Amino acid sequence: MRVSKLERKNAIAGYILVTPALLVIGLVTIFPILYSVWMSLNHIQSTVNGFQFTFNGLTNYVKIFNYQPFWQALQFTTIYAIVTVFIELALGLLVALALNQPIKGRGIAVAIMLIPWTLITVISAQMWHYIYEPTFGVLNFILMQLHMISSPVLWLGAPQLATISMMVADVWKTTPFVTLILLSGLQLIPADLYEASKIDGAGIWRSFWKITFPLLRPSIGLAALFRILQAFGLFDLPYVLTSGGPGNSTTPIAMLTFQVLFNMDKFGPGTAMAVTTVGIVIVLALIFLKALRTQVGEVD
Amino acid sequence: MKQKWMQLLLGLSTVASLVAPASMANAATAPKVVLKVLYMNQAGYTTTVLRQMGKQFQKEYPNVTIQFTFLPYTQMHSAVLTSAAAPTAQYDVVLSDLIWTGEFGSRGYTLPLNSYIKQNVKNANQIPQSVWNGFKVGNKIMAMPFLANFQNFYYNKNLLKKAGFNAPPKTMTQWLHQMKVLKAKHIVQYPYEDSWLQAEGLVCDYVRTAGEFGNGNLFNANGQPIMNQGPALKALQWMRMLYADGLANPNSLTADEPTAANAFASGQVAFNTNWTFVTGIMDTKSESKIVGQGVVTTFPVAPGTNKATHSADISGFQGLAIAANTPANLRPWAWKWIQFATSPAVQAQHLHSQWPVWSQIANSPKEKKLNKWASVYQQNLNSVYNRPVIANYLQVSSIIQQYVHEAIAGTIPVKQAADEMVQQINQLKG
Repeated sequence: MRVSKLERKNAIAGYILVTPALLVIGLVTIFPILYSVWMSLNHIQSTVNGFQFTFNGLTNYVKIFNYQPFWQALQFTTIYAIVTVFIELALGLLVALALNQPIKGRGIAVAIMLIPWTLITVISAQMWHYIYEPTFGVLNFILMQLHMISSPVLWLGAPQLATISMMVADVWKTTPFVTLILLSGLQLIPADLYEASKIDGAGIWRSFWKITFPLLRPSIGLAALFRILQAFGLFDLPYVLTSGGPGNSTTPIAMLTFQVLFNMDKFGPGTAMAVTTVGIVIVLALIFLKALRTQVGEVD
Repeated sequence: MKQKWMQLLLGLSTVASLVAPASMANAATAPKVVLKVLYMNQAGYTTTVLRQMGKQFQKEYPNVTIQFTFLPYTQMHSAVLTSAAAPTAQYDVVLSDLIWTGEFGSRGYTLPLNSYIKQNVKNANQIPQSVWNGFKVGNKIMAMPFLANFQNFYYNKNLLKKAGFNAPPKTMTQWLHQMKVLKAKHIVQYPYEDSWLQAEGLVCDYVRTAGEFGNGNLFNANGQPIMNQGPALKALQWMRMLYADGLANPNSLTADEPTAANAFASGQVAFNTNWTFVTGIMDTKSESKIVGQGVVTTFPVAPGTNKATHSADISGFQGLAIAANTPANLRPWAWKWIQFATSPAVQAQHLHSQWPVWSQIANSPKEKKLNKWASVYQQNLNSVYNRPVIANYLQVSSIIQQYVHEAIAGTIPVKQAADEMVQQINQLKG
């Protein structure tokens, strides 16, 4: 097929117009990623004359795969992501279903529901820190007033309890986001489908499983994808709430990477850790996107 | 009278030494200079105090403009590190926390200041040796002391009186006895609270407690970690015992320094070992329920410990340093700023904000008038142990934090925690 002169001219103009944007993206996104990959393949010494690079192949990757805290952080991050995302989806779905009903004051309810999501994580983490504070914290105060506990509980003092406490803070903050995605998904489902099923004699439960849930699967998948990717970047909540402790029990992979890079000054292994995390996230994203495409195809 | 004359002379000589180069700078030929200074956002020497100092300096040296960057403590280390690795310094003068001295010195991120100090600081012996030691790597002085923070032993005299004690404990045995009586008589549920949150503050408390048992050095002269023996092991056993026996508030495990201070100021506990800021809190009506009851004293110690001061303490010093990649033409000006900000004359103007590093200012009538605990402060300052001055301190510290915390909580037996601490620190060298 021959391309006309005008089309070629338009194409050139198009390339010229997108070049600045591509350059910016290349400089602020692609270059740092490629540079990080290069850094991860080097032994890096920070000197007063700048960074000195010595190529050492995959040595940094071998180092981090033999570094027990890396696996511990990866395990924690994975469990944390699965548990919080599952709870957020379940709660988010319940709230979205409730808000999808034609009730009075729905707009206000949605606005109030969104407040936790609008807070900066560091601020909400600090707020939860006060709530969990053993002596002056409101949680222990309420539980003691209700005679549910006899002495203050150290919510952040033991590994399992600290993990659960952190998950609660995360669920509180992020469920509104999941709710919003699911609510928009619910509102796309045509009302006549429910009317038809009602005529056919289907109850609420059957309508949910046969209509709502299948049609909502893309939205659920999308919310899960966003949340899992965010969970792998988990940093600010544990940084403020537990500093990764007790022990290393609440240290996620992003925080460990920061510690290796900036506390231990080990730039090679640190970037190897970051690149590995990016790899995991890309694989997860691809799996989810494929699954999403399949679901949309099924619906279509 | 003689003392007053001496102080006047000392003051005049300091002012003269600051003004002399100023007159040179005021000359029309003085180059325009912009100094980039990195400092921390903190209490004591606050951003306002630093800006005031900056303005004073610029009056003396109109050709110099000081550009401050204030960061939270948690961002300071990485800021210095990235600036050090940049082709040109992002910051010419940086705050150097005592625990970074080893790293900055051994990796050459900051310049040794020996020659500047030798030439310009005439009364260096007025800064206690313990303070200088915090900024030395071998013979190199990596920062000029700027801020002398340390801990004090705080007790509530009313609570002690109720328990039948008219004086604070002087030994560890006495302290243990007093805590047991306070608990047994139900005067308080927990006699003591400390900041044992898994953070740097925990290392400070650990080093200080080891000091109270005879020696706060966690490494021997050969650089070998010795947490699994002697005073360091006793300290760990002591901390675990206080927690297990309900003498220390269990909240200590998640408490930072302000939280522990609040517990003391609310009258919930009889003892608190904390940084100097507690002195202000305990007698401030809006923040304290124990106004007039809190007393500052020296730390109880095991018999035979630190015979000169009969106390043991932990340092939290900060110094000012010149970044190694500061352009050569700026270095003399960077030093001038450091000399100015750390000078006795300037520190004497800010006694409300911070305990001075200079002995003659600390012992001055003005300080004594401002701070009724001045002599105790001086005694505690003279008893400090520094945390290890080593290149990989932050790594070592995170291992210490983890195992001390686990030992206190009882998730690992004390001896095992100490052994693992030593083993992991040794592995870092390998």
